[in-house]
Amino acid sequence: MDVQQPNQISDHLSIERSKRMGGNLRRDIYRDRYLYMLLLPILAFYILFRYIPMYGLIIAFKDFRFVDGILGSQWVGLQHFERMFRSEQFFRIVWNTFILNVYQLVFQFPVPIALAILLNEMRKKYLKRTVQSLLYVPHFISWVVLGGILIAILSPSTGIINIILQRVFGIEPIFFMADRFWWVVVFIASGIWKTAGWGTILYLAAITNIDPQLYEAAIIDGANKWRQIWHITIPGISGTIGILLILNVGGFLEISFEHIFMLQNQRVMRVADVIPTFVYRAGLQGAQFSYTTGVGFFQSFVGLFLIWTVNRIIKKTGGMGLF
Amino acid sequence: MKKITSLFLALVLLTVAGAQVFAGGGAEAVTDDSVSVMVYERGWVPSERGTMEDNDWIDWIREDSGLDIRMVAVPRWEVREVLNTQFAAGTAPDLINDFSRDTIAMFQAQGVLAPLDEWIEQYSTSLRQYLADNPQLDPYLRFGEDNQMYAVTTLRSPDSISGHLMWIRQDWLDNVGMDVPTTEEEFFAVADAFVNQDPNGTGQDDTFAFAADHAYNPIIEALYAVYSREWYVDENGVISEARTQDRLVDFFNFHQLANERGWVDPELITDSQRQRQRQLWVTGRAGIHFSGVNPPHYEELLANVPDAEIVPMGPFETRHGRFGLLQEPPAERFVAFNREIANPQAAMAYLDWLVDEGWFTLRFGFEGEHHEMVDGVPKTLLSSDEHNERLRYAWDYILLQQWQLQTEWLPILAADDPMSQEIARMRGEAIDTQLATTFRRDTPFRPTQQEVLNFNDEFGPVFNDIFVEVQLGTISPQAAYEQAVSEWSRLGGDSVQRIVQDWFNANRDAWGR
Repeated sequence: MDVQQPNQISDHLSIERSKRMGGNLRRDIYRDRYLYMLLLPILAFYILFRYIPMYGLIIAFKDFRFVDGILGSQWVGLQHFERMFRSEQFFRIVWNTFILNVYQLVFQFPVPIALAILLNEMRKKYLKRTVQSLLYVPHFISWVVLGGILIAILSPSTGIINIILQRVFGIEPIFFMADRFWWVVVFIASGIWKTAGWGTILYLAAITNIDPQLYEAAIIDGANKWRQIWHITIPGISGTIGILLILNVGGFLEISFEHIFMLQNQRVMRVADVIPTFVYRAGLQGAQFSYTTGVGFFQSFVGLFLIWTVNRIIKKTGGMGLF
Repeated sequence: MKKITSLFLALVLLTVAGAQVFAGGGAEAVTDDSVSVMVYERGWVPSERGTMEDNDWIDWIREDSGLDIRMVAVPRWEVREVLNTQFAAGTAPDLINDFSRDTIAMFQAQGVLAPLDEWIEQYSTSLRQYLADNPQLDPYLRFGEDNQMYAVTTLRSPDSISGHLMWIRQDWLDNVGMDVPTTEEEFFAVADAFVNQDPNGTGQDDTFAFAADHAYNPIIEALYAVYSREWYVDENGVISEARTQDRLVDFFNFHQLANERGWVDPELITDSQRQRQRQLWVTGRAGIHFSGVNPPHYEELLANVPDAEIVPMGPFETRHGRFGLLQEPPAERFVAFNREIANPQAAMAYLDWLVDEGWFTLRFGFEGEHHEMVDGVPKTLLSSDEHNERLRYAWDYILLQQWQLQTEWLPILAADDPMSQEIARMRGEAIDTQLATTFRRDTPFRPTQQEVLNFNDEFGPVFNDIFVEVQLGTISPQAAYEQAVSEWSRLGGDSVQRIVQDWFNANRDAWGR
């Protein structure tokens, strides 16, 4: 049974491709000029806010001072990168960022997929709607608020979690936020709590794209729910999963600044100091713009490399790549 | 995909596009005759009075000084971040100010500040005279290799020189039969008693010895003269950093005991706003408060514990001697000029006006309305609520001032109600206690060479790890000290020491050391 369903994104891509191959690009643009005009604001946005700023990257190779400006500052070659690769702190923050991202990928990435499938199987419409809305709520709470709530409910003396652990299970209070193991658990779990619900949207959209006839055929063949999910739903959204995986891996060395900054404390710095918090500290507070730009550049470079690698792997294994 | 660098790229973009949309503080294009002045935003202005950038006091400033002054509010704890952005965008105010000399040094190194020697000579009258009369301020105002003056300042008053102080519950001491501790040994005994002997008489094990406000660790550092990033000179003239002193052993020991014996609330580390600590104190569950010379949350404490009695407590004697708690250097606010300033003459005129007369009215208000003169001292006519509503927010407009408090004036200055008088008396006592022991500071300010700052980026986190291990009790104070010293050398601290030694040797005569 062929279950490879073209989803929206691949549809779009194939139209693009056939058009380009079809011939005269200029004529096409002229013909669809009003449609292309709609594209202009987006193009302007990307040029203005994504491409022009890249010119600022050269300060990673300069000794940037405000007074000299970007062009006028002195060239120092790879000095900042030398400092970076000699620095133990640099390896520590890169390692922390890396390992937290691995955990996020392993534990956080699959959750919205599972949630979306579960939601899809809910039969009562109103119940499904309600659950969905409730799942979206955490997305709209800022980390600043959430951080405070987490610290309060995880407090060893007054937090509800520890009170339950103590009263019900007789476990000694655990200071979750001050323990290097538990802190990581809290960090990942809070990330799941906040993002998983919102993350289901794309998958749900992909699921609605699956041809209902496939399910009907499966039912006639005697497939139970589990078989339907396994052989129809999951293959049906595998394209979306692949693309989101690429995007996720591309942002591999990125970590939500607010998230980690709000949960950090002195005692867990050994596992919690990451690239964004370092850039904030050394760059914006310490005015070491060149050095921190270098660190940011390194991070983007690694991100690009990873995106390219995963994209290749997915294509090699027969999936739809991003490019 | 560029979320992380976008902070900097956005910054950089601003210079490219010359965009003014992201000015943060709201600076606008400057006309020739106006002067824009940075001011701290502390959220003190009552909404019916306007904002920090537009209120009745600013109207008065313009009227009385005859100058077109515009205020640019910058969040009190984000001065560096916001000014960095504004300087990059070319929208920084003409006059900037901060209590931290390091902030000014940072911007001076970035080349965005104007040297002031000539302008002071050329345009200033009162301020020039003031700086000539107080030459001890001069070393603080000179920066960089050319050693030019890049900032101006005025002398601190004794009440703002005195920084940190401890307050102890006298009634708790009476309950456990002890006196205010004067040595380390006595202090540890009192701390133990406060934890174990039910000093608040509730019959429950519900007390901590300490209410650890923001000054908690700085006070302990000062007690052992290992104050954060300070450099100390020994009898041979050799300079070394706080985190390599042998006194660290006792400093570590204090922290280890504080955690081991339950003197301090373990949740301190997640209590970044110190709300829990405050709660422990005001509900009568902590016996020693680490803060400053103002009686900490006194009215709130009395409301909960009517019998509470608190007294200020100075530093105790250690086996290395008795070291004072933080005292500020004589220079108060540092005011510096943006290099791009259009009208330095008007800015100087504004500073002259402030140092002459403006400061007094901004501090004490109008005679008959906000204060009355009693024995030459401006006694307030406002209750503390009225003061907060009508006068307090003018505080940060006082960039320069000539106020020199004498502690016996405090009761005259305060309102007449018994509580205000009581607090004034306690505050006077606290300031005297605080100033009785001198804070050890061997260089007037810290070195700001790039090598020193870079090294700190490396060593700081390593030292923090050691410090955490000590607090957890997984390493002995002695071993922690040895580890700190060996890490210092391993990471290249010795060459940093040589740089600072040269800096000290070159300047020691000018500093009179």
